[in-house]
Amino acid sequence: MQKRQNLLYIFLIFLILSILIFFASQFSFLRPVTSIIQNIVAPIQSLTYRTSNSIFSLGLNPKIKTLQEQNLTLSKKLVDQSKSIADNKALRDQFATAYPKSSILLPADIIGSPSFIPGIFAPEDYILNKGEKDGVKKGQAVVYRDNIVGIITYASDSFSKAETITNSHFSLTSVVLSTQALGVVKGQGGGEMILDNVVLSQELKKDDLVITKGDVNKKGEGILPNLIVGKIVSVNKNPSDLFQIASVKSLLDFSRISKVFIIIGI
Amino acid sequence: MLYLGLTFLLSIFLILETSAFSMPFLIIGLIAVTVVFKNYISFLFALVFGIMLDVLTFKTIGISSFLFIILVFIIFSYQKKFEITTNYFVIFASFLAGLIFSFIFGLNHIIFQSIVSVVLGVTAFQFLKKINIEKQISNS
Repeated sequence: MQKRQNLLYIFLIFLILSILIFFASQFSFLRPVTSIIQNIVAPIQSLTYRTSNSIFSLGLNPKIKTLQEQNLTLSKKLVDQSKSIADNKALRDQFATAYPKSSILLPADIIGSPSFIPGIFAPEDYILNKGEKDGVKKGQAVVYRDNIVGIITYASDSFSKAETITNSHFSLTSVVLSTQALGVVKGQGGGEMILDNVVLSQELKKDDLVITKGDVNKKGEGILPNLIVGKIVSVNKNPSDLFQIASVKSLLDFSRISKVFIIIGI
Repeated sequence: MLYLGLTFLLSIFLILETSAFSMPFLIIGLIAVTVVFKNYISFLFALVFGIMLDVLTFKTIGISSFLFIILVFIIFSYQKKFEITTNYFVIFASFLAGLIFSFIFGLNHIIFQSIVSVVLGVTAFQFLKKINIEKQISNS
């Protein structure tokens, strides 16, 4: 009986402690403590992430890796070419610049991915080693080359959390490069994405590139236009439906990226 | 020495969960530690490692601790009625814990995660049971 009472007392003490910590975390005075913990553990996390990535990359054919790199480069060229044609049309050649400008990109290392099992699930969140003190804010886009990787959903002093475009909570307005068909790309989880809300009168074709339409706020934060979201892999068009849906696959292999770039301004 | 070893083991689980794999390693480790050692230190582990998990995964701090502490309390409560140091109990507890925590924290492939949790749970349980038996032999 005594032992049972002790158990109840200990349970209540720890439960109340956890509740107190929960409420204390709503205020900013716990931030220095969390920053210290994150700073201490970050190198170990980074090492573990890289090691596990290397282990699971061992079986990957180097030729496939090279082809993936070439595919990324060619897709970039395709988007750049299309953009150049549009710019020429509007007699705005003089503004043609490298995109996104390297001066607005902040390189960040991925130090963790809490929703990732190598070889089984694709990552849906990344923990990055850059935070508010480096200029990172919630809502900023994360890219790799000119492919969109995701968006910052939380930033502490030294670290931030980015949600990838395949995360089931993620959505963004996008356009199909060849037809300018407008739609909404929605993450489905497990590395999958769909292009939804495309009216039936618009044409969607397999292998068409999907790019961002752009969603930048007045502070210059958000998703820039013309970033590559992915390639259409299949189209589901039903005449009785209001919209057509396409499956979209990113050109990036999210499980093998170890460095990304945060767009910290325009 | 034992507490230091358990802290080290749970730290490894924490690092794996927050950096490389999304499996609920920590909760599995906590179940195994509680079932094998039946020591109230599990409450302290639940509190401390829950806070660390929340800090490193940017969750609201305290939420994991709260759930871990309730889980440890439930295991101790069952101890009065059932024999908990068995594979069956660990399988049941790991599956249920994996299922509930994957659901609460919005992880995908809940059933797959729960099944892998069972495998990990039994492995951790057998490993810690062996350590505990060796400790008892050396004490006697």
